[in-house]
Order: sequence, then structure tokens, then C-alpha cells
Amino acid sequence: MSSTALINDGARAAEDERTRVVEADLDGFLREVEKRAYRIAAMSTGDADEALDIVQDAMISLAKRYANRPAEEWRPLFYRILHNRIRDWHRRRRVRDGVLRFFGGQEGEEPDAVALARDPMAVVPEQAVAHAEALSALEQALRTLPARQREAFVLRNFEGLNVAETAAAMGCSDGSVKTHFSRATHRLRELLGEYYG
Amino acid sequence: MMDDRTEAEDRLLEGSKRDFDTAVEATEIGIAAGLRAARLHALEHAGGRAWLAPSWLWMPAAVAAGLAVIVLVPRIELGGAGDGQELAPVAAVDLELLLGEAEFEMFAELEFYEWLDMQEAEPASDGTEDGVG
Repeated sequence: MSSTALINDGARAAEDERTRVVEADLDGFLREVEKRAYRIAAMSTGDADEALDIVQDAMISLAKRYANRPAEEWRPLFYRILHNRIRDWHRRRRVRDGVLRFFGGQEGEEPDAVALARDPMAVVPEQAVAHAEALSALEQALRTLPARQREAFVLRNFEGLNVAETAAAMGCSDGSVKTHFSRATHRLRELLGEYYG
Repeated sequence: MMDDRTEAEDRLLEGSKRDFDTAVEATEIGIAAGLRAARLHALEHAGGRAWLAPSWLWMPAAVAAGLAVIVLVPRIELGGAGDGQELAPVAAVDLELLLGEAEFEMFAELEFYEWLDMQEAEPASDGTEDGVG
């Protein structure tokens, strides 16, 4: 075998090994965030199928474009992609609903209640009732917030991102994150005081 | 998170996070399966990109193929036409084209070489073929 072929084989083997490590790390990261990302998308859209599509798009985009970036950058990048996808979904829906209204048709379909319903066997029934009511109210309240406030609240409170990570995910300054988060918290307290007072 | 939070806001943040986490834990089996499939699909993209991305891996093969063209094209031409005088310009043009990274696909484009040969065989143009002048 020629020296060029040996060098090529060695480089390919090293690259294959690096790819395997990246894929294993990325698999672990996506496994960790996939259900949370789905729940965020489902809360934002109220549609199980659309939420699944949004999360899949976000995963593919991260894998395609950012797999080779340092793993510590994945979380803010992933949530940035996810929230961009959610915002795109809302924009498309507004346009679609506008067109349907213009032609006298039905506005957006009702959320798929069966698909969104939680498995009653997954938690104790009496807990399920309390959680279901509070969660339903929380989802509805979150949907009333402006997108940026919702994103700041979800990323800071549900995902535990710090201010800098949230700013990176939202593509804005630390100060904007604090403002959006504070306004979201105040508004949600007004809306959800009955459940979390 | 924020120093000026009230107790009521603390209860909201803690309670809403607890309910969110509970909802995540209770993700339906069908949705979980869909997410797993989506993850595996995404990982295929990561693998494909990593294999294709490092262009330097292709360079040894590109150089070897370029050298093969330089060596083989004159021999083929010698065997076919029997006139070595016209070989040097053809090989030089090929080399220039093939060593350009942007033209790398031409290694696989045998039709390109057939076309190149046909161009060489045609009589010299008078410079008016594009309708200008």
C-alpha cells in the first residue's frame, strides 16, 4: 500500500472515530432535551403533530449545521433553533388564518386533544387532576404572552438556562432577557395566581 | 434567579416548573417513539456531514488522480493519433482544470474529456461564433 493511501486511511479512521464520539455526545444531548423541547413546542402551538415536526426540524438543523461545534454550545443553539421554528410556525399560521378568514373559511384547527392528553397511568390519578388543571392553565397563559416573553420565561425557568445562555438562545442582550423574563413573570402571576398563589 | 423577586413570584416559578417537569415525565409513549425516531434521523445528518466535510481528506486522491491524468492522457493520445506534438497543451489544460478545487467533480466527468477532445479536433474558431463582432 502506498504512503498516500496509508495516510488517507489513517486520516479517515481518525475522522470516523471523531464522528462516532460526536454522534454519541449529540445523541446524549438530544435524548436529554427532546421531551422538554417537545413539551415547549406543544405548549406554544397547542398541536402535537406540529410540535413533533418542529422538534424534528430543530434536531436536524442542529445536527447538520452545528454538530462539530463544542458540545457546551449545543444547548443555546438548539433552543435558538427551536424558538425560531416556533416563531416561524406562528407566522405561517397567522398568514394561513388570514387567508382563510378572507375566503370565509375556518380558522386554525382545534388542537388535537387526544394526542396532547397525558397518559392517565403515568401519574397517580388525584395528582393528575391537579397537575392537568394547572398545566392547562399554564399552557393557555403562556400562549397569551408575547413570543419574546414566553421564550425568556421558558428558557430561564423551565430549562434553567442562565441569563447569558438565554441571551445567546434568543439572540438579544442580557438586559433584554431580564426585562422579558420579569414582565413574563409578573403577567403570569396575574393570570395564574389561583394555581400558584 | 432575580434578587427582587417576591414570594408569590417564587411560588409561581417553582410551581410552574414542577408542573412542566411532571408533564415532561408523562410524555405519551407514541410521542416518545416519534422523538426517538426524529433523533435517530437527525444523527444520520450529523454522520453524513462529518464524513463529507473535511475536504482535505480528498486532496491525496485528487493529487493522485491528477498525476494519473498527466501520465495517461499523453500515452493514450500517442497510441491513438501517433502524433506527440499536440499532446503537451492538452495535458497542461487538464492539469490546470483538475487541480482547481472547485472543478473537482470533473474527475468523474468522463464526458467532459470527450467534449474536450472534440473541441481540440474541431477547426479553429474565427471568433464570431457568439454573434459578437
